[in-house]
Amino acid sequence: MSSNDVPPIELRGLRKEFRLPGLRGRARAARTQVAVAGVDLTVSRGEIVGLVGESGCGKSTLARCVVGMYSPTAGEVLLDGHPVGTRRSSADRRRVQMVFQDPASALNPALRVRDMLAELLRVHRLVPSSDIAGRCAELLESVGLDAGFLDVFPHALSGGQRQRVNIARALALEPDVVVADEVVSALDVSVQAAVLNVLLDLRARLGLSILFISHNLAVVRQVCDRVAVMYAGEIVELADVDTLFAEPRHDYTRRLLAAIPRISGDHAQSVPSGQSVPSGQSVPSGQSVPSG
Amino acid sequence: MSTVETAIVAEPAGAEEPRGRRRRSVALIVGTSIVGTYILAAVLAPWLAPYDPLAQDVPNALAAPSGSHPLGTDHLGRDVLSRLLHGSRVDLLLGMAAAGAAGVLGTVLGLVAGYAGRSVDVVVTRVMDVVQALPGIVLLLVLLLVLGPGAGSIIAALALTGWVAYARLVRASVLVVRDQDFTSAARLAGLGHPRVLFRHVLPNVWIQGVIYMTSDIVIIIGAIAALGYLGIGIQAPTPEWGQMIYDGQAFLASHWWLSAAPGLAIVVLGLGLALVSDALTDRARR
Repeated sequence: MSSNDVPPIELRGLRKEFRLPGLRGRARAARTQVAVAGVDLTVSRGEIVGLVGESGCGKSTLARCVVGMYSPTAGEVLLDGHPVGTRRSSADRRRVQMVFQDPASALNPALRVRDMLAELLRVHRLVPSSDIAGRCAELLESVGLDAGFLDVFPHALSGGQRQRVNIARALALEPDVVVADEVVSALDVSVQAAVLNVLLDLRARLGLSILFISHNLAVVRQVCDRVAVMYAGEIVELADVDTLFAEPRHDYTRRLLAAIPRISGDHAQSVPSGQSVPSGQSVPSGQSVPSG
Repeated sequence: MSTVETAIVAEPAGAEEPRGRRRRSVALIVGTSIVGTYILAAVLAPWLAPYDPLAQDVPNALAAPSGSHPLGTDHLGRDVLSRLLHGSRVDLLLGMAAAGAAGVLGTVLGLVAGYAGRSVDVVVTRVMDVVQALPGIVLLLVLLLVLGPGAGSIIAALALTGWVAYARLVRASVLVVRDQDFTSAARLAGLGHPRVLFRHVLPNVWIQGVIYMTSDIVIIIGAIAALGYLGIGIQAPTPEWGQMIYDGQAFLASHWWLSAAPGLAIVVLGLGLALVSDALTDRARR
């Protein structure tokens, strides 16, 4: 473990553009879609930072840059203060793991839970081979599943169980940072709470840093320490979770908060219709970046 | 499919197996027993066959089926049943070997084409287009002329023309699997491309190749028969079904069973493999 003042992950001026297909030459430059437009963000050790914003604002692109699925157009991703290049080493990849949104598609249907976990432990030589079985059981236990699930194929698991296995898979690699991309949005509300508790528990026990991506503000309020609000590829507001919910400063944040559905409440609080988002930034036209 | 699924939902809890599924497992049992019988016949041919398949008995040529020759004798007085049994060795072995070789070659190329992306994919796909654009039988003839006659050349020639179908099937499946999150997760976990390809992608796509292979074996046996017909297949005295059909053709009006017996052997084998193939398709879909 490195010293506490160096954040396990830091983004500096991170920018990701996608070139839209079909054009050549001069027209091509004009058809560039900016998905992430220069983002600075730090997640400290043991901190859960929420990243919220509407679909297409660049949340998932940002996440994919952080874990190394995309290489940034400009800017840097720093792990423990060291920039990682576009081609990460296997060891660097191991330190930043991702839990995916769709628990069904994130597990290989052809592998038993045990084989999936054991492979990771073996490839990265994380434990001596005699301890692999024990470590697999331990990993499942840490996400609240008993060892009986080791010999099960993913299709026999429920959505919540699958997501727990996904978290266990990420944990197997002993990462410093976990990027959780809409991890509970595909789950039943009752199961959501249980899976969120797993994350909170792991943060407390392992000092895991979590970048928590969600469009569900109620969930973000529950689990996050700080929240970054993303709009059109930029972070427009970054604040402590309580501050943000109590006194949102940016207009977009206010609108986002106002959009939380309430069971009882006066309708005057809903989003003013027909109002475009006022912001000082140059907003690229045509918001259509795939958000994963 | 949808009707079957509604049937499953409609079944009360604890009821017996849904009818659709049971019918399919019957298909699997019948199919595997047919194919199993063929394999058994091929393995046990030397003991099952009442006569030497090559022994000629010209005075007794073209005998009708009787107690001593259940399927009669051919124009050289050879026992047809014995030739049929020994023929199953040649045809099954060649069919499975050629389908297997084509399957392995096509699966590997399809995997690489689907996974590696752009440039490699374009090259492999173009090669597939070229191979497919040439008429298969012409390509076979050319290859056999180059390689010379013999079982090895026939297997090689059939593999070199037959791999395209496997490659296309596997490539299409890989394109689907590659975009699933578990493939990304495997890469994010720091696993190398070969490991991701063979341990995470291959187990989810190989069944497609196997399903096709079951029907491909019959097509290949047909091709071997056609080659025998053209005189560049398995050479003369060796018993082989295609050759037997050809030999019997001259006597079709008076001795129809000479051609009908090996023909029926191919048809029933095809039926058995088709049943197995259907059952496997169903397994894969679940």
